[in-house]
Amino acid sequence: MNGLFTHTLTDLIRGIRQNKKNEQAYIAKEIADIRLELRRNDPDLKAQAIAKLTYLQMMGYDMSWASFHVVEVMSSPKFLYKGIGYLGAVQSFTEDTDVLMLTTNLIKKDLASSNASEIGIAINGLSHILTSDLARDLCADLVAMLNHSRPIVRKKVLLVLYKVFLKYPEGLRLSFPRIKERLEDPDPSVVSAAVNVICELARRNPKNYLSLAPQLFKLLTTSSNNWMLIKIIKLFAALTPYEPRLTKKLLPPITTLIQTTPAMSLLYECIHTVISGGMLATTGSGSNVESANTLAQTCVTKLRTFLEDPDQNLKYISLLALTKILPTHPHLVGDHKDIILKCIDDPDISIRMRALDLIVGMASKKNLNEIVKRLISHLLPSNESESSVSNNGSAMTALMDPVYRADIIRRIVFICSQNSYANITNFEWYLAVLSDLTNVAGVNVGDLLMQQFMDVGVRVKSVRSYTVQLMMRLLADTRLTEPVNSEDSNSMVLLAAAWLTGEYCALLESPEDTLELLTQKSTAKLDPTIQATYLQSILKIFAYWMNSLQYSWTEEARLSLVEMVDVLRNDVKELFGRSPDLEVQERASNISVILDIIAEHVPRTPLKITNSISFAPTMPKPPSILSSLYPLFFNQELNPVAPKAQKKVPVPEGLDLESWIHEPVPEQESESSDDDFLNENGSGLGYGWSGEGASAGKSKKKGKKGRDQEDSKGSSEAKAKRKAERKERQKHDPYYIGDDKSSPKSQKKGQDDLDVDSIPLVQLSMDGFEKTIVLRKKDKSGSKKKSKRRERSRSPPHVPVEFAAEEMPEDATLSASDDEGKNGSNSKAYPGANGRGILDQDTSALHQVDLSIPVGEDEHLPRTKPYMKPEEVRQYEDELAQRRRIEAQKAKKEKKESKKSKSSKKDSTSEGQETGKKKSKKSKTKEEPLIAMETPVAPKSPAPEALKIEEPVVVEAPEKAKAKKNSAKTGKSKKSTSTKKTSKNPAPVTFPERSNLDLTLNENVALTYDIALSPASLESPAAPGQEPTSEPVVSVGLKIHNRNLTQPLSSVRVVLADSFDVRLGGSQAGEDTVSLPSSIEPQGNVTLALDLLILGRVRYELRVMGTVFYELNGHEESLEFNFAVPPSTFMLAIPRLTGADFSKTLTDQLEAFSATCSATVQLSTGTSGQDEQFWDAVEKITKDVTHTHVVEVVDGAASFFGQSWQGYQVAGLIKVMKGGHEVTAESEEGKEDEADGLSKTIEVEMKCTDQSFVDGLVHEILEVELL
Amino acid sequence: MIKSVLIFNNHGNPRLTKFYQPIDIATQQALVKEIFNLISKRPDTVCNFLEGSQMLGGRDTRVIYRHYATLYFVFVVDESESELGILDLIQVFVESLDRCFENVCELDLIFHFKEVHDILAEVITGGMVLETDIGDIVAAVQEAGRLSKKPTGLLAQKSPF
Repeated sequence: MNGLFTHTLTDLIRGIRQNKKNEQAYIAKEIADIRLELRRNDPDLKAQAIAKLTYLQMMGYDMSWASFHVVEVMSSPKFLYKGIGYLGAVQSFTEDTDVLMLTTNLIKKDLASSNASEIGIAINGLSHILTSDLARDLCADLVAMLNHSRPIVRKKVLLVLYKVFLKYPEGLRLSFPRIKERLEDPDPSVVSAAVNVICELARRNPKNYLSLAPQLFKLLTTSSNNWMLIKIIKLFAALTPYEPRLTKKLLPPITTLIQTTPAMSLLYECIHTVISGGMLATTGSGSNVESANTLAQTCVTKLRTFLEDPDQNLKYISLLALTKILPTHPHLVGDHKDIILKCIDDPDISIRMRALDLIVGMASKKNLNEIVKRLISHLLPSNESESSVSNNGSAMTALMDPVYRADIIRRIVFICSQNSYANITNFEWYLAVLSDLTNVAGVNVGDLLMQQFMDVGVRVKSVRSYTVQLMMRLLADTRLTEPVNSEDSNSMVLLAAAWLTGEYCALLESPEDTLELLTQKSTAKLDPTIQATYLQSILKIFAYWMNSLQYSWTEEARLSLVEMVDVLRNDVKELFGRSPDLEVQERASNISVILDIIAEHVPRTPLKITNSISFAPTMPKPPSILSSLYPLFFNQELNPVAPKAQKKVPVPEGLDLESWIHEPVPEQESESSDDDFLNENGSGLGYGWSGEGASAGKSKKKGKKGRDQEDSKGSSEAKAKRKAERKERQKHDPYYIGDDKSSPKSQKKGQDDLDVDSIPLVQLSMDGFEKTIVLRKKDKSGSKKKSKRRERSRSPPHVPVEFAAEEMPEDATLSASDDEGKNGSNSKAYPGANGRGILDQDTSALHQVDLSIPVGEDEHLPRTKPYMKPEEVRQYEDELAQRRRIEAQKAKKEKKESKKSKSSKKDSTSEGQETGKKKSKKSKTKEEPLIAMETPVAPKSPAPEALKIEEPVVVEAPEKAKAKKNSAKTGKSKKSTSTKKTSKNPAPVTFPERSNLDLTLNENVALTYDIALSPASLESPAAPGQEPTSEPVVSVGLKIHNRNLTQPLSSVRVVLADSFDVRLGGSQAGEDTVSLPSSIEPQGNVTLALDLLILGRVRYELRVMGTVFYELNGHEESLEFNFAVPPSTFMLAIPRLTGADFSKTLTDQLEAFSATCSATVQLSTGTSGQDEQFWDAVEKITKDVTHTHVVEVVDGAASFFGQSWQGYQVAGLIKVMKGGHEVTAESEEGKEDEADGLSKTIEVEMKCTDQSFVDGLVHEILEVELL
Repeated sequence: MIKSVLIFNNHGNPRLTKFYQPIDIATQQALVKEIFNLISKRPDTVCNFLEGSQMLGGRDTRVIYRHYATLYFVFVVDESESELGILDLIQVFVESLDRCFENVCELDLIFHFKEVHDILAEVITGGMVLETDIGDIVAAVQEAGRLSKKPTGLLAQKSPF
């Protein structure tokens, strides 16, 4: 009736086509209309609206908001509408769509339809929206339908069952016999579907399906359906690796198929299977091997005909197959290198990429040069091979595609560097290639090339001198130093250039020139990481150069040194001194200072050349400063770290990383771990980087070894000593921090002294260097063969390759497994796409299923229970939640009691805690003398054990008692706890007082504080949504505890630090000091009341800072404090909100609650049950931490609400998470079993009307330890 | 497994998107865009396999497509499907469309949005090939079509052209 006036899908599509210019506006209007249509109670309109939404979904418009309406349309009795509904669900539902649980019965009903088409849409829909619940509930129905009278239903059911098994793997074992039966189905398309499903299943876990081989073999030899044959052959490819005997049986029919079939796809699949099924690699009797080899030959020949075929598709798949055959039969593939190389130049990128894959695998010592040359030619814009296809515009653009270019370069580097450069015979050539690549790349591969330069430079000793020369050229290359387009430039290689010239500066022709290059103007624009390396290199080269001056210390040398120091000082300051990068700036100022020191020590007056008795003038003695920097960098040669080195470092005896980490005193721990960190870092980078200059003046290896030995020798002794010391201190000082003379700090000093002594001052003469260079030259000329080759090729001079020794830990032994590893890496493939694609599905569940276990009699598919009405569900959930709560309370009570007894036991044993027994009763009294004990000594060190147990009792005892009463009351009522509490008399909720918060202490004074909103402020809170009329005042009770045993504290006063956030207020307004009238007796406490006016915005880390001044023994001393004003201080005790009011508040003020923040909290894996932990956590988060109250409780979740003085409203939800998912009521049964294995997390989500406030609250939650 | 079936025209406007694994809508759109950008650069003379998708990932994911007049038919599959087989399957799908719509053109796909999905559902279910016989596919579609037409629904069934 109203059809005339409504917009159908066709109208929508027409509208979109007519409004191409303002499409978005048009669609926005349409969506608004659709929302209205969905609200109307007209099934026709609804279906139409969903159809339109589904169309818009394809164009990228979200329709998840309409999922409930989708379900409504799905349940329409009209076939057409049902189809629309299912299509909407298929296109938009995800596993998380919550309305999915409503669909179980609906789909069940549709599956039972008498109409095959209706069943069809239900099955097709189901295949997309399956969840594990749906899979479990519907599995039995689907399996029953395997015997449906219509083949079309049978085959659809088969296919959807595979999806069901993915979600519900148990179902596979229970129903597999029925699936197997379908292989014998009279309808061939049903058999095909069964093969299809089994093929997918067998890919996950082939062993399970070996028993099907005879049936499948029969199908292979009798069927003529190419589709199915392909699948069967693929299936066998998965099975043969597990049953090699199958190969023998399969070879004859497959060979026949290869020779006879006219279908290319089947032929190709046969070849592919022969290869990937490992049928060619048969090891066995002679005839077998022979037939396998002939087959391999046949395959490769066939593949060659594919390659020569004009059909590009055949070319492509042939390359795919060749890549697979390559690892087992490299020689067969190698025979066709010519045609494969041609494919690299194919205009079709897809074919090129596959050919490249193949080529990368084919690379060897012999053909490396040719292949690399060929690949590089792809990067060059004009080229012979290119011109032949250059008329093809698309191929050309693809060549300029940065992704393609980067891929080519990565491949070049990969084939050259694989297996520790096994394929490279001439490293000068490789370096030249790398240097060419920096300029032709056109894409940013700077990091990769930088790493290669560094790696070759460090590893290959014999080409170091060439490397250094090359690096000099790079440093001077303006294309790198002053790139036009910084994005495509490979200026990162400059880092390698700078580093290598610095590290191997002895090989430089002219260090002065290099220094000049390193300080040229353009450096200022380089990346800070490069600049930092530049700086380090400048210092290294300078150190080397200055050191060399001492061998010819003349006036000239002096002048050049003076000049150099001045120039460098200037340049460094100018170029790097003002860098915004901290690292660069710091290094720059370090170097400036070093240069300043040197400048001071260089004689400013001209040298007098004294003529002595001998005829030659004697050189004046060079100043010692010349060699001062040298040992900093050049005492130890830097070697690459062997790849396995880190693994080979033996685990020190008795090292248990799981054990208690706080045993050692903090200072010492940090020192030794520093050392370890350096080592680890070094090996991680592969170059031993951190060694460079990190340990000044200390012969790196020896110094470390010496210390190691000392450590291991004296470790047990020292440990015992330290322990004794610590015990001693603990006895006298309950606060642990002390400055007594035997503290580890002084001990550490001693060690440092020792290290300084052990610094070996080595004088290295230039002779040594020259000698080695000469020797190397001799080496070069010595081998005539090599020099010949040098003449022949125009590539740079070729020297025998000499690798630098790789560093290994001393006691490492090379085991057989290492060799294996090396061999294994030979066949390492070029890392192409990453392992998991975005469309991949998780099929891991199927790996667990073992079909060899027969199905027991008591095992059967679960039958779904009839659905409960919503009210019943509600009631059920309430009862469940209530029951759990009571149980939790009970358990808590028991736990508490055991805790109590434990703590009192502990009390009696610990010293100086006579009052301990009273504690549980008196816990809230403020005069508790041991309160200071709750203060953790240092944030990182744990509280001593006795305190750990005490603390929770002190804080929680009164709370628990209250909670217990509550639960006892509510336990009798039928409604859930929260509703009961809220419905009758809405009394304001009370919060525990915030008292005795830890603060700070020194040896004489300990401070703790409690904080609350002042009574005056409490009277004038702002209404929700209103601005407060004044600033809030908080009352802080600062409790000052005199820790001195004999002397009183006098003239105590507190001075607040100036702050924009906090000022003294209330009665103390206008003052800046609050004094205490009386003095504090030894061991006494006085609480000083401070009224603080909070001016700043309440947020995370709103802090109050100040100082307590006091006189002790006539001396004035002071103690600074700094404590947080937590946002929850401002939370008001408001009447409890009912669930209805809560949701009304939220929906009415949807926009006001714009601030959100959430936190995930890990519950410690205690012994108590999950529920109990959850309730404890909820209670703690709401009542203790955020000062809010619980509104509603459902199973596994609780909502809460609160309001602050400023009128901010806070609404939140606490949920149990398990493995990142919300726990729903359905998965209840599994909960208990999984509870111990999994870590438990809860998620707290908060909405608030003020962002900084809610952020602060969340931080509070995060800072509290939840059980 | 077939992971996705996409149809879009020469301008990259989607005409059908089907993902056999749930995937968020933003990724869907980005993927269509990426594949279109890659495919549209390829002349018809090159092979029907697309390489170079950065988004898809997965070692053995293959993008196989065919280009008919104004439309690209793209199938994203994994290694358990035969490459040439999928090419044939695309042909089967297109021929089925042709039989159902009689000389199918892009407009048919635009205005018979749901029917195209229904036809695809008779070829592929849950990412697996259901039927490859064009006759059977068309018969199943027509059977369901008769049911749909029974009630005179509001959704205009007749083609506007």
